[in-house]
Amino acid sequence: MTPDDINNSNTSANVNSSDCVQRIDGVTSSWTETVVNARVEQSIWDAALASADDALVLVQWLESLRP
Amino acid sequence: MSKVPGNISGRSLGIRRRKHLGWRTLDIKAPDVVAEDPNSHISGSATTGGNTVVTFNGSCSHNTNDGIDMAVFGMPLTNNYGDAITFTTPFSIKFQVEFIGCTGDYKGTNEAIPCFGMGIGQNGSDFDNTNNHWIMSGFVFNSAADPPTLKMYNNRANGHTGQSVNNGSAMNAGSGFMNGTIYVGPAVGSKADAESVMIMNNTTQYSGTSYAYDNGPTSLNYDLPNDASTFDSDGQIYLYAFFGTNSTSSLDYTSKTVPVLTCRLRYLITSDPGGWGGSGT
Repeated sequence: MTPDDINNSNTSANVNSSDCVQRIDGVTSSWTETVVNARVEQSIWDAALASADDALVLVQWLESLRP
Repeated sequence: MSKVPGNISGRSLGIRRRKHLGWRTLDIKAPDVVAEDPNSHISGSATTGGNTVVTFNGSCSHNTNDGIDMAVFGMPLTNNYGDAITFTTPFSIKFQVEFIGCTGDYKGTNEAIPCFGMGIGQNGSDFDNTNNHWIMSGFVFNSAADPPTLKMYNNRANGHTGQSVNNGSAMNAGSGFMNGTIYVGPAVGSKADAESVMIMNNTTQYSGTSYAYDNGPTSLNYDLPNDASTFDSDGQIYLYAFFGTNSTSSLDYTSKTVPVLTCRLRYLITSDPGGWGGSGT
């Protein structure tokens, strides 16, 4: 699978980062999240589940969407 | 007495008249607004022509990134008929936070970092008390440019006394028109359950341009993630607007020109004054 295979499928997503802070019972913690909203065509998903190489392609494709 | 055919008086008798239609401007100077700024984030506020204008304080020694700890304006939330809305029935509220402009010094070294927006909560005053539960969204400044680039911002209750803050990714210049929706209930109040309150925000270019989406973060969505953070009141719901400096470290404003922010805040309620369908039992 290649990134173009994903581009040519009915797959869409947006990826961004989010700086997070929370304070509970006076204890503050912070972290950064990657926020993924995605709809992935089933055939793409199945290929990613079946192959580590294809899974990497999918994740790298998602990462390429980050602003 | 008029005898003109068709001129029938009293046609509205017995018909309930809507007090508000469509979008309403959140007027922070309305008589039923409770304004609190216990940490002195702003020095003045005004409304003009539907715009909200806020002057930030010349010095602010309070370090926070929580909107609920900034200057908060709260007012009772009412439906289209002017009736109070309580947490006993499910409803949704749409809102718009629109950046208009900002003068003065901001986002540089030792300069205010304006943060503003709106949301809902259950306290009608003493907003920053740990017994309050709330959820709000808006913007935080991300650059010193004019106009500044912005990030979407969210602040909400987490646990019974905790709170969470999220900033989205940096958006392109010109993205400053947030349309959001808050979904509430029915599992709130005495029936509080996790994730029964959600806020969803989209940001586009300013009005007057194309309304195009930013090519980066198009939406940020959050919920009240646990039972303890969910609204635990069956009483009146309050609409909030917040303004303040988003900084967790002290700023020395010496010789700086304080920012004056202009924005628009609007909201639209979907709530049935007759209640709703029933318990499902």
